[in-house]
Amino acid sequence: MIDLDQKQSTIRRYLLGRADEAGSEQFEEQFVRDAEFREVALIVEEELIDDSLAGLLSADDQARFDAHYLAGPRQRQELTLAQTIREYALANPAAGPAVAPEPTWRKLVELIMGHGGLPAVAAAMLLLVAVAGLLAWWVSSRHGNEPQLVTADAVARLNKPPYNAEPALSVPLTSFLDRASGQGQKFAVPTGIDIVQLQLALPATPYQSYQATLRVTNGEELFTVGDLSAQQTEAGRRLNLRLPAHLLTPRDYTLRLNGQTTEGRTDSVADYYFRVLR
Amino acid sequence: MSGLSVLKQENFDKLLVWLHDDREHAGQKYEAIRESLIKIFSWRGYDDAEDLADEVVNRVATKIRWLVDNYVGDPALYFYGVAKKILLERERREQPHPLDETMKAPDTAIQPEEDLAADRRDECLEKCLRELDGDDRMLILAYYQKSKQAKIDYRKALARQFGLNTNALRVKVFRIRAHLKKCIKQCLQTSPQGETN
Repeated sequence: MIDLDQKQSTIRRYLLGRADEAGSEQFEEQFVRDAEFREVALIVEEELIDDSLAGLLSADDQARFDAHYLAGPRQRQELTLAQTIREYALANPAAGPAVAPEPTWRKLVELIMGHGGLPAVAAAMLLLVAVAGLLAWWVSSRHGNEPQLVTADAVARLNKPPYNAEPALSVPLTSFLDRASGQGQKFAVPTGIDIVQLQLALPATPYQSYQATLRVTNGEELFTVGDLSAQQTEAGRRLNLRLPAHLLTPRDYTLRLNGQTTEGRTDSVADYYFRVLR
Repeated sequence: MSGLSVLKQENFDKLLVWLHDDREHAGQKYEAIRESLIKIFSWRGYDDAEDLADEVVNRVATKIRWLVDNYVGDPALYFYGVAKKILLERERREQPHPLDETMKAPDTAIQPEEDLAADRRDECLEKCLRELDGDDRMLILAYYQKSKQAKIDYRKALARQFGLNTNALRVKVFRIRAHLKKCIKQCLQTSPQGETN
């Protein structure tokens, strides 16, 4: 499910021209490559327009909205269209539904059990739904999710100190934003190697812990592991991610790193692209 | 595609294959990338956002043979890299035009010379609302009711009424509104005035 609130302030900062160049590029890069983020950004944009029309923006935000956001002709067109819909809706209040007040817990129970009518039937239906849910969970846990969970478990164990084995292959990787456009990062995994260590160069901002998600580029997610730690080295901050070598078959991969702040917030930190050669 | 007239069909076909093996998926991905670039150029204040996006596609297409053999990563990011380059070149030549005082957001009072276009917009809106599913029509119209705190409370109640949480309500309203806006834009393009603003 899309979490709108988590991204809203970052997106509004960009739309109102408050993001610095690095922040803008990070936003735009994610907007181009991430369909879910793109939808969130467009939702936040529409709500920004709504808030402006409804007089809900602060004086400073409104000034920035007028001076920065409306600089593009397409934005002015969007505003006009939103204004047309809003004015029509306000002029036709009867067209909307009458909204009921919030139900109390008693009303909620009534909703579930029916109005004193057939509680036994309602209970039987609830039981049926619960059994169906359990069955669906059992089937998915046996078939759909198992490989991903096993992989995530294996990767989590490999990255939990103390380490039982040292990697035979270490590969330094830089994030997409830190390397020149089009420069690929390629390596081969020789046979007989058990562990590959990806040495991820990190931006300067530190996080309490990190979460890594590896997916095949334009394909399925292989695993997500959390509780990863970074180290400060002479060359800058680094995170060493140890992977079972058999996981890295010859393909293109995308590794996303998120950072967890002490306040519990999750930020997107960096993306790494690499190709494993035959 | 007007800005792509110089683009060789062969290169464009290769570009689609580079985006995805399946041509339909490739087409969708191409449209998503192009629309994203148009948005970005527009948010950065450029009037010719569509031409700039087409210029990006042209430049990527001319390098497609090299890209297929050498580029590693999400193709969308390569497009974005080229877009940044074009922005830099453009900024060296000229600055984006900041909003002129006379061009500020249209006030609630619509300019007299825009009356005809406004009438046409209303007609298109009514036509497109009629084409919506009954629940969707009710929801989109209800979503705009009330103001300030009353609006927030009203939307919470509205979400309950439709059996959604507020997050899901916002997504649903966005999708209905996107459909509605697309319909209105198409309607306006076929209108006698043929303008949206």
